[in-house]
Amino acid sequence: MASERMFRTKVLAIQVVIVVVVLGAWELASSSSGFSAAVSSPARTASQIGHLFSTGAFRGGLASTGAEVGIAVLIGVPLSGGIGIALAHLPSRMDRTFDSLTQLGLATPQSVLLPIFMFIFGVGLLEIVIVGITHLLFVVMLNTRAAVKSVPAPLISTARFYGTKGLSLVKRVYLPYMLPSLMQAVRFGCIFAIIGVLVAQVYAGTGGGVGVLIENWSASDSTASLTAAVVILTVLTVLINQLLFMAERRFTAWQK
Amino acid sequence: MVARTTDIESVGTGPATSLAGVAARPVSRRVLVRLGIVVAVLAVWQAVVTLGLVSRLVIAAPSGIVQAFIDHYAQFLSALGTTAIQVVIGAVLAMLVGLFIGAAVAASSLLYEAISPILNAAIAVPWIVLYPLFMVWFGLGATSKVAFGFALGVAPVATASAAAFRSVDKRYLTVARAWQASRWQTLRKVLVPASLPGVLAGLRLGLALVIIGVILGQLIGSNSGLGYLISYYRTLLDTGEVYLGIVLALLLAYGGSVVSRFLQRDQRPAETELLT
Repeated sequence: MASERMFRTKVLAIQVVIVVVVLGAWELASSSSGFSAAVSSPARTASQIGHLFSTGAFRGGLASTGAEVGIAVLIGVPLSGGIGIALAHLPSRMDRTFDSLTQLGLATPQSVLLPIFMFIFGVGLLEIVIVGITHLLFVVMLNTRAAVKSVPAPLISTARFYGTKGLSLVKRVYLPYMLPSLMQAVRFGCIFAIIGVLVAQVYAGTGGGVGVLIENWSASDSTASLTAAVVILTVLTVLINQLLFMAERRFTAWQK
Repeated sequence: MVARTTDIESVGTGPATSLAGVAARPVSRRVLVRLGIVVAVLAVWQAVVTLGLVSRLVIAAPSGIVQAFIDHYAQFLSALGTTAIQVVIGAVLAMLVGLFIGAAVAASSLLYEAISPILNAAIAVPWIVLYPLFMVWFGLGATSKVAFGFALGVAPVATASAAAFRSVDKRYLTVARAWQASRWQTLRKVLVPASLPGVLAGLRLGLALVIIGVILGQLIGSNSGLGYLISYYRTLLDTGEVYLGIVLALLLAYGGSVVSRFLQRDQRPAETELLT
């Protein structure tokens, strides 16, 4: 027990050292003459983060980006999850065709298709939400399909033997077994929706959202605001990922 | 358009006839069905645009893409080359550095516990917001694309290879020690083969992300490469050229995916294990 605690302390110490080294290198780069124009120092970035949150433009941008991610997740995750469940029930011959199609979709760099979405839907809420959905579509689809397929056949036949069927089979066997993988699908869905929405905003450079602000700051060489926004978005996304990951762990507790 | 269709059909019948034999018949039929679907999609696509159901400013017809290729093939092929070179440099760097970090992190359980959560968090970072900073630091040229592709690809390679090195069955190492294998022998005969499936899966993901990074970088801010041409012709509303650029970029991505799947070909069982 004591050695375990010792181990945890050492792990934490290493992580602190890494953070200190990164911040130190960052500070050094920002104060050296060669980089100072291109690198905003940690202290400067910290104060700029405070300043950004006090401006209506940034808060508004963050809110509209959040709303677009939210819409993309609320529509996209159930939609792709549904397709994934349907795909899991295909006869094995069709399954192979769909498998190669979904693999193709997964290998498609979605961002390349951005100009097509802009031609079709223009620039704005609809286009951004659709790009968010296409980013999460295949990942969530394949994860859900894998989740359904991972339920062991003996488990289902045993439940059937005891007379479980229909909705009750779904509720008592399928869902509890699939929950961890489904939670993972939701987490991937959120992360990919965030990436999709931000990519669409940065590429368009007009309309609302943090991505647009970032693009504009980059065009006007406002390195301090740019760096501060990058730090905020990175921390927010990692935090969302971590929270969903913890929720996932709670649901997998019974497996161990 | 007609010429294109017959072209595809003649390509399709070639392997089908040469594979005459009972065992090959179902395969060739499947290939024919797939080609049929492709031809049908192209025909419908062409018809929709030709009949004016969709504006040429929204969707380019297949014939428009072919025309764009005939008009600008030198420009697009040289851009494809530029993009491919940037992808290869970014991918090689991401793989070398990723493997090195993975091996270093896997060497001690202390380092592994401390660093793997950081690497995992790095994968969730929306890297796109960092690209504008990359442009400030590395300029509009090739360096910012290579650096951005590298940044996207390195963490997945490091995470997957660290996990793969850690998950090597300890009994193999015990056996190697029992037979008094040297360090080098243990590495070459035990560690590398046993961790290869996981490492290759990481490399595959890394390559896909490097391709995305390079093309995305070119789309957003650059002066060369496929992404640059796509964005340039988009502002001119030349849909044929835009779609041509997109088709070439997709071919590059699928080519990368085929190459990495080829490298993974002997590792099928382990790959499925990793995915489930």
